[in-house]
Amino acid sequence: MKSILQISTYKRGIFHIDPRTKLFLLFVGNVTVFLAPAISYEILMAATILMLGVLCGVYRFSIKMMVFYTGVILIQVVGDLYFPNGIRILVVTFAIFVRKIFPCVMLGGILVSTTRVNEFMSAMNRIHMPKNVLVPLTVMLRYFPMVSEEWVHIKNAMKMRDVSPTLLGFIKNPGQTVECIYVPLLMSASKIADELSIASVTRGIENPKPRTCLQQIKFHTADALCTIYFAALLGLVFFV
Amino acid sequence: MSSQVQAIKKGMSTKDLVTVGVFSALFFVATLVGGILFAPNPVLTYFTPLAVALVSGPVYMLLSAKVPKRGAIMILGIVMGLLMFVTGMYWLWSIAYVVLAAVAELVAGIGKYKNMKLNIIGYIVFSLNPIGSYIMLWINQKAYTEYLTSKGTEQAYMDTMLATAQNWMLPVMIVTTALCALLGAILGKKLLGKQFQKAGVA
Repeated sequence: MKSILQISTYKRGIFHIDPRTKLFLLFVGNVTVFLAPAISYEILMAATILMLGVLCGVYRFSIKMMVFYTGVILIQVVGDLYFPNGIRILVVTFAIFVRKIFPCVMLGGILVSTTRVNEFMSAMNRIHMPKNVLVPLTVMLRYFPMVSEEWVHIKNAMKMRDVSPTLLGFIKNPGQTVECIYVPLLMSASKIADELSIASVTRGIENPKPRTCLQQIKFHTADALCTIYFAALLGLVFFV
Repeated sequence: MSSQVQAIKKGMSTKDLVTVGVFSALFFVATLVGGILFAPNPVLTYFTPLAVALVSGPVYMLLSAKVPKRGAIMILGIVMGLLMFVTGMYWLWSIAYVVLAAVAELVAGIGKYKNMKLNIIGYIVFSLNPIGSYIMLWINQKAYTEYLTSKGTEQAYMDTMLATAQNWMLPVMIVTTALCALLGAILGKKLLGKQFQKAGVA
C-alpha cells in the first residue's frame, strides 16, 4: 500500500528535515504564495519547492508535479492568447485556480511524504500539541491514500452489481448509486477506525509519559538552511 | 473499550479520536468532490456550498452517531480549517470552519449529542462554512476583489463573478445551502437507519 506518512525507517535524499521545521516551511510557504505579487514570483516559488522535493529524495513526485505545473502554466498562456472568449474564461480561470493552489499542494505533498508517523508524533509532542488534535490529524494523513484505494474497490464492486459509478449512472439511478458509494465507504471507514484504534492502544498510544523515538529529532543544518531560505523568500515579497 | 473510557474520564477516548480522524479524511474528500465541480467556474462558484453540503451530509451524520461526545465536531472543524488553509483557500473559510463547528457543537450539545434533530440542525449550521469564503463579496467587495486579483484571479473571472453576485444572492445562498444540508443529513439519517444500525456500526 502506498501511504502518505512513511512507516519504515528507510532514509532517502540528502536532506532530512525535522517535522517542526516542516510546519514552519508549510506556513511560510503558504503565506508567501498568498502574497505573491506576480506570476514570475509564483514560478520561482514552485521551482524552490520542487528543488526541495528533489533534495528530500521525492524524485518521482517532484518530476510529475513539475510536468503538471508546466502544463497548467502553458494552458493558461496559450488559452489566453488563442481561445475564443467563452471557452477562454472557462479554461483559463480553471488553470489559474489550479495554479494558485498548486504550490501549497506540492509543498504539502513533499513534506508529508517524507515524514514518518513516529517522528511526526514525537515532534508534535515536544511542541505540546494537544493529543485531541494530534491523533485525528495523524490518522487523517494516514487514511487519505486508503480512501482512493477503497474507491477503486467500490467501483469494481459496483460494476459487478451493474451499477454504473459514473455521472450518467448517477442521473439514471441516483438512489442506488448514492447508496452503493456511501454504504461501503462509510462501513469500511468505521471498521478501519476500530482496527486502527485497537492497534494504536496496543502499542501504547495512551501512555501519559513523554513519547520516545528511535529517530533523533533535532534541529540540523538542513533545517537552518531551509528556514533561512524560505524566510528570505517571504521577505522578498515585501521588497519587490 | 469501557476500561479505556474510564482511563481518560474527561472527553474522548483514543478510539473516538481515531474515528474522528478517519471521518475527517472522508469529510475532506467529500468536500473536494463537491467543490471541484463548481468552484472554478465564475457563475457556478456560488453552488459550491450547496454541493458540499449535500455530499458531506452522510459522513457527518455517521460521525456524530459514532462519536456522540463533546469535541468531535470541534476537532473536525479545526482539522478541516487547517487543511483548507494549507491548501491555499481564502482564510475566512478556515475561520468559518472553526466558528461554525463551535456553534454546531453547542446545538448538538443541547441534546447531549444523541438527539437526531438537533444533530441535523447542527450540521445545517456547520455546512454554511464555505459561504465564509464568499461573504466578503458583500461585506467589503473592494478589498475582496483586490485580494483575489492580486493573488492572480483574472479580471474576466472577477467581472463575471461580480455580475452574478447580486444583493439577493447571499440570503438565497444561505437558504439553499441550508436546504441542501438538510437533504444531505436526511440522506445520512436514512442510510444510518437502513444500513448501519442493522450492521451494528452506528
